[in-house]
Order: sequence, then C-alpha cells, then structure tokens
Amino acid sequence: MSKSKANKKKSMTESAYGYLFIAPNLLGMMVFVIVPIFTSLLMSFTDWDLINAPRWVGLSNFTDKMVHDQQFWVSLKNTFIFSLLTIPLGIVAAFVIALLLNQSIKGVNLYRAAVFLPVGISMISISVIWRWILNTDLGILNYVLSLVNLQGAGWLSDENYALFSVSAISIWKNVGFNMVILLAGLKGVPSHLYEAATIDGAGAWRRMARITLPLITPSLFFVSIMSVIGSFQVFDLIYSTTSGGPGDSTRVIYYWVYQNGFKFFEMGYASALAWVVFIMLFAVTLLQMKFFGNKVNYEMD
Amino acid sequence: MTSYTTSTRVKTKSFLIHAVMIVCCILFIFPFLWMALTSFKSPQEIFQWPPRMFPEEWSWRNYQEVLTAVPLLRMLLNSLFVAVAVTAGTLLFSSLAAYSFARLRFKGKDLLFSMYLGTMMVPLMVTLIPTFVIMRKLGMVDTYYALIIPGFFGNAFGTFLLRQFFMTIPNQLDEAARIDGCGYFGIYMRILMPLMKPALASLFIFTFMGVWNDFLWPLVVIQTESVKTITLGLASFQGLYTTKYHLLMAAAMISVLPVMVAYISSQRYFIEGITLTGLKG
Repeated sequence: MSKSKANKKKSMTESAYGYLFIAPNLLGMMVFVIVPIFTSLLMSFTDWDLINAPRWVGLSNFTDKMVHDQQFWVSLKNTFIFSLLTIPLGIVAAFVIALLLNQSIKGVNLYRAAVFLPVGISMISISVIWRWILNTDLGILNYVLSLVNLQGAGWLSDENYALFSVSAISIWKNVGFNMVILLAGLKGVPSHLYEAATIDGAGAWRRMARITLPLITPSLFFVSIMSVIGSFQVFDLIYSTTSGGPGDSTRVIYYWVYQNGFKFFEMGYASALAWVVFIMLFAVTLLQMKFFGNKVNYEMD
Repeated sequence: MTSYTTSTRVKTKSFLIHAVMIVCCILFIFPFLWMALTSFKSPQEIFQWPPRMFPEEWSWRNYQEVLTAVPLLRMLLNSLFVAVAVTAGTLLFSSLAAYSFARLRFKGKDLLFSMYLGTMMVPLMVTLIPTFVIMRKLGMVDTYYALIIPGFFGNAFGTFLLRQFFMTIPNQLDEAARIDGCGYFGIYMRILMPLMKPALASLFIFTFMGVWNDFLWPLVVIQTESVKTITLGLASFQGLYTTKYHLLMAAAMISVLPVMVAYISSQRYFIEGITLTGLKG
C-alpha cells in the first residue's frame, strides 16, 4: 500500500518535472509557431492591410484573387522550373563528386573542404559576389568566354537567362551540403559487398545499380527532401540578385508572398499564398515518402 | 605484365580524379578569390577591359570608404550578439525539452511530440506574418528583442535532434544515478549533458550559422541601421551601391571573412554535424 503511494508520488513529481522542463520550449513554440500557424490560416480568409480592421472575405482570396492573379501563376511556374533545374542537377553533381571523393586518393579532405566552402556562407554574400562575376559588361565570366570566342550574355539581366543563372548559383552553393551527406552514405556501404560482387563478375554499372544505389537510398531520400524544401522556399538569392526580374522571369512564389505581405501590405492574401506553398510542399513530401518508402533500405544500419 | 597494367590503370584513374577535383576546387574557390582581389582594386580598375587578375596597386581605400558609409563592424557585432543569445537559449531550452521527451513520463507527451514533428514541415512564410504582427503588438519591431526572442526558446528541430540523441544513451545510467540520490535535473545536468557533447556541438553550429545567415526575418523587422545584422546590412548596402563593385566586394569581404575563419577552423564539426543529422533525422 505504502509502496504504491510512493510510486504514485514519484510519478507525480516525474510528470511535474516533465512539464517544467518542457515549459519554456513549449511556450516559445506556442507563441511563435503554433498560434501563428492557426492565425495565418484565419488571416488567409481575410482582407487586411495592417491598419484597418481585418475584413472577413471567406474563400475569395483563393477562389477569386489567386485564380486571377497572373503573377501568382508566373511565380508558381518559375518555382517549378527552378526546382526541376536545381534538385536533379544538384543531387547528380553532388553524387558524382561524392563518388570521386570516396576513392582512395590523396587530398580528399582538401577537395571536400573546397566544395563545401559556400555552404556556410550567407546567400546574400554569395549573391553579391556572383552578381559581379556575371555582370554583363565587366564580369569575369563574359571575359573568359570572349577569350575562347564565345558570345557573353546578360546572365542576370536577360529574361532568357536569369532563371537559369540563379539556378546555377543555387546549385553551386548547395552541392557541398548534398555531397557531404551522400559521401557519408557511400562510406557506410560495406566493402565486402563490392568484393563479393566483383568475384561474381558484376561490372561497375551493375555494382552501382545493385549495391551502391539501394544502400544509399536513405541518404538520397534525406537529400531530396531537403532539396525540395530549399527550392520551394528560395528567397534570399532572388531578393539579392534579380528582385524577381527582369520582367517576371525570376519571380518565385516565396518572393511573391513577401511582396504581397511587406510591400503591398496585403496580409490576408499573402497568408493565403503562404498556405498554398505549405500545402504543395506537404503534398510533394508525401509523394517523396511514397516513392522512397518501399525503396529505403535500412538493413545495413 | 598484368600487375604492370593494373598499376598504370590505377594511376590513370587517380590522375583523372585529381584533374576533375582540381577543376572543381577552382570553381568553388575562385569566386571568393575574385571578391578578395576586386576589393583591393581602384574604381578605375573595375572598369578596365580586359580585366586584370591582380590589383595594380593594393589599397585599403575601399574598406575605409565602406566603413565610413555603413557601420558594418557594428553590424558584425549585432550578428554576433544575436547569434550567441539565440544559440544559448536554444541549447538550454531545447535540451531540457528533449530530455523531458526522451526520459520523463507525463500525460500528453506523445501528442505534444507529434505536434512538434508536425510544425517542422511548416514553411517559415506561414508563420512569418503573424509573428511579425505579434512583435508589432509587443512594440518590439526594430529592436534586438525582435531578432532574439522568437528563436530564444529553442525550436522543434533542435528538440527533435537532441531527443534522438538522448534516446541513444542507455537508461541504466539514469537509474544508477537515481539510486545514488540524483534528482531529475541532476541527471540531466551532470550525467546526460556531458555525454551529449557531439550532438550539442552540431546544434550549436547549426543554430549559430542559421541565425547569422538569416535574412528574411531581419529584413521584415529591422529598419534602423544600428540594429541591423551583417547579412541585412550587406543587402541594404548593395541596394545603395548597386554597381560600385569595388565597394561591394570590400563589404562582402567584411561579411564573409569572420565566418570563413570560424568555419574553416570548425569545418570538421560542421560536416560531422550534418552527417549526424542526416543519419538521425
């Protein structure tokens, strides 16, 4: 009897401490994440300029305003093109570099450090640097191209090139991040599997398809999830290189949300746009989980 | 004969790898080098065609001009202050919450934890506007409070990451400590935290770099020059001096250099942190 009382008291203090330790973190989460998420959802059904009281407009932000918003569709298209360029190319480039660095050669650490260098530098600094390199009249890239008799271009000032250029900068910045994850995945593949396969007469391609790729799917999965999240939310890069221009050629969805919220003070509409991004991101992540779900192989862990 | 051909094949292969990787290195290092070289050139040299690799005369003038135009050093200190404050808060409050999630039993724990996981999917843009409105209501817009408080209590990612690490530490350690009369806080502080050093180091670097490089939030809440972080400061400097590349490169140098020094010296931890997170998360 007394023992169960003691137990009860113990679990009482245990849960008291449980709540106590979680309290500050939970408070922060409540005020700055949970409440804002629901507020944002409510706001998306209003028309609000921050000054006058919000006006309830029901679904019209979605069904009327967004549908007829040309800029929204353009920014959506640009976001998809940006994602389709940066995600596959970024992952393939990182994978190739990781494969090369997984060989037993000298100087691996140095090479890895070089490729990884841009990862920790702010996107703003990187944009400032690349704007100078890609400058139409004075940029070093156009000069190098002229040395080999190639015609330079207005990489960031020409509508036909700008989206490709910012995609390239994005790949350049993030390839080191993906490479590090994939390299760790490759290092985790036991070498005896390759030896056994080689003895069985499997060639390089076969070893790649049957051993390497299946065993690093967890790393590929992680890298692809992170890439999708990053590319849907690209902002700093666009803000500091092209501001969405020239024309609308690099206006991406995040930039359009920002402009609506903090330039036009359309808080309601901006929230509606933000929720659309959220829902799309959620859907794509679910698709990825489904795609990788039956392929992820954790057996070797 | 066979061994001879194999060894030449190995040599050619490693030669090719080195060749590719050296080209890669140039591709990744040259932009930073070009920034550094340009920052020492005179304005006339910027317009010179063909461009020259090295400055005719190395001069600190651009740096002097940049620093008198914009208080970049003050902004560096702002970034340092904000990043240290947010990181300290995150490490403390996320680790406490993570310990609670990993070790203590209380009602509603699973529900709270799935709520934490759920929020990790939500893009920043969704919470940005309401958080801005809250900050405005509290009268904190355009102050350090706006930069520090939203991140100070830790975040779902940090709590989740640390919880995963707490779970890998055997429970017997806690039990032994409890028999020896150690309380819950004592177990957290004296037994588990010392074992969490690698995880805490990763979270430290992630949070610090995240806050240091953050741009969107400072852009939204800060207008006053003297409160701006370096990232925001550089962006607004670029807005004012759009095409004065000699000044822009000097400003970029000032913003990049401290990070690069810190980063090269701690890169090992950074890379380990990313791999750990990639594998655990």
